[in-house]
Amino acid sequence: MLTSKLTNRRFKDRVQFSSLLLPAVIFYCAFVIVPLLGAFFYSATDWDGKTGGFHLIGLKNYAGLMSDAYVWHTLGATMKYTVAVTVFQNALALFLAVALDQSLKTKHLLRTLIFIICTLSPLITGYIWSFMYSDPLMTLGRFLGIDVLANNILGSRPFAIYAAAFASIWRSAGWTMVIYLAGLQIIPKDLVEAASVDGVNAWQKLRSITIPLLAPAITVNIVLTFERGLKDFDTIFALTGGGPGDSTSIIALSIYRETFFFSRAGYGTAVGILLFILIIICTLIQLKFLRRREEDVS
Amino acid sequence: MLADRIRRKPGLKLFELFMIIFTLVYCFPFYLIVSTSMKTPPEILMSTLALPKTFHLQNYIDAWEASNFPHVQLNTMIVSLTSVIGIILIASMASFTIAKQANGLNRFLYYFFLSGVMIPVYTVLVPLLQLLNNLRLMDAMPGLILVYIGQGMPFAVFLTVGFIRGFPKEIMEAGTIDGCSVYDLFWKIVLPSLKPIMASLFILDLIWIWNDFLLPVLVLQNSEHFTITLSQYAFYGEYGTKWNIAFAGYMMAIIPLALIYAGLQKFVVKGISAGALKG
Repeated sequence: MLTSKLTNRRFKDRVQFSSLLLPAVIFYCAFVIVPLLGAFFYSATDWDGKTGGFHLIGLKNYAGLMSDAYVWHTLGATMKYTVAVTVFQNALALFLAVALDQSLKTKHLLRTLIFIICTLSPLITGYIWSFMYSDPLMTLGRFLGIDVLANNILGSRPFAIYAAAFASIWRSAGWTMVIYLAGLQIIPKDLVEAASVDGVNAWQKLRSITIPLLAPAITVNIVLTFERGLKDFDTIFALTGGGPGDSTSIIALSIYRETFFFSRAGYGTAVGILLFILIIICTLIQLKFLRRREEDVS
Repeated sequence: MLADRIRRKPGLKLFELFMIIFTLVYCFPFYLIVSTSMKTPPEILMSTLALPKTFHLQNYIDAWEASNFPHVQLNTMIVSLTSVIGIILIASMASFTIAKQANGLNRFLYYFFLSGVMIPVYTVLVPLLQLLNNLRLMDAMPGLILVYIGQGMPFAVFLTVGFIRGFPKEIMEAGTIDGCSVYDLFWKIVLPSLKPIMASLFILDLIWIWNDFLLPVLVLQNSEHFTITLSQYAFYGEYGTKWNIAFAGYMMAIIPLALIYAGLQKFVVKGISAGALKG
């Protein structure tokens, strides 16, 4: 009796646990996993995205990718953009977090001001900075005699991509800062105080206590900002539309163009798979490297 | 220690002053939006940086009418709030099972969901639009909502599982001994204690969906269904040179989200430190 009651109970538990899982699995499969499988399929076709007919052409799209100078160019631009965003956004956010974790009277107000900017849409960010670069910063550039700024920087082939990265960093640094601030809360206060008593200076404290103990937050932030950089679209779409020339044409923009502008849905999807593979490789490398760093610390 | 603190005080004050100036410079573009949105075109030409001479609120009235603001705002709220609540509820249910019923399947599911973080929406665009087309959900808000819920799962599950794993075992064991079923445990014990993580997911996903541009521009065609980013996009096309009206429109779009954020701010840090960093 008792055993049958117990198995009954366990069976009921299992059913209830599974029923809680089901909706998430359904939504995730329907709108992420199945479309991903679909993407592998479409990337092997010559579909234009509109009419009913298409042919299976095997790996031809991928062969086309390999010799497509434009795609390689967008890959290069994407990497420049992403690395700039990852490095400078994390540096800025780390500075802001450490600075606004000190016992300043205005720290809550300042944090809020910086974070409020994150609620702007990337699209508006693009519009705002196209205004900033075209008017106030040009005036400033002329005043300070900085040539690149004096003529709208968005028109400069080598620098436009970094100008776009700057706009994106400006918008999102507050979010990265919040994650660093959360990481700082976990650091035991007595450790920091003990160091103060021992007469360790601020820079040493930062280097040998704060930053090592922030390792988990650093991992999360670097992986997240890098991934967001690779996936960014709206800011550049609004800011430069890929120009001047193709100098700010990032990979997401080229997928959008191939698929919806040039009506090459099959080819555009193959570029999308390339981006997916790029993200997997970068994420795994980063996780491996950064997690090992975390273990060294602990 | 006390002497130490007193000795440091002047330095800290100077640093505070530096940070205030730094933040003001940082927020300078924001100042430009606000001031430009209240200027007349001749004022902008004369000096972009100066404060407006009079607070010219006519720009806001013009932007309000030109963008069909209340309607667009309502659409945005319906889409983003429904999606976000869907994400949070569905992801917490799944996360509870994944975190508390330890078996091979659930360990697999955790990584199965987690790997979705790496799948960019651009990769799946074509099949996704095909799917919406087949479901007759193109140019409709429910179609967008379903996609957002699916796309939001990976990160929400990642954050919530991390949080639930940190729960003390005793609470749930006590519940089981008292005769709680799995559902009771979830609704009465787990869900109420998920508040901090729900607050951070709420604000994070709300900002994402509210501000998303790519999916609405591809899914929605009829301007009746437009969300805020689409109206901004159309607005820029029409008023791109009239910065005062465009910026008034942007300001109106920012305010609701900024207010929601300000109300939830203190939960955000708590939620992240408990979910992403400890999990």
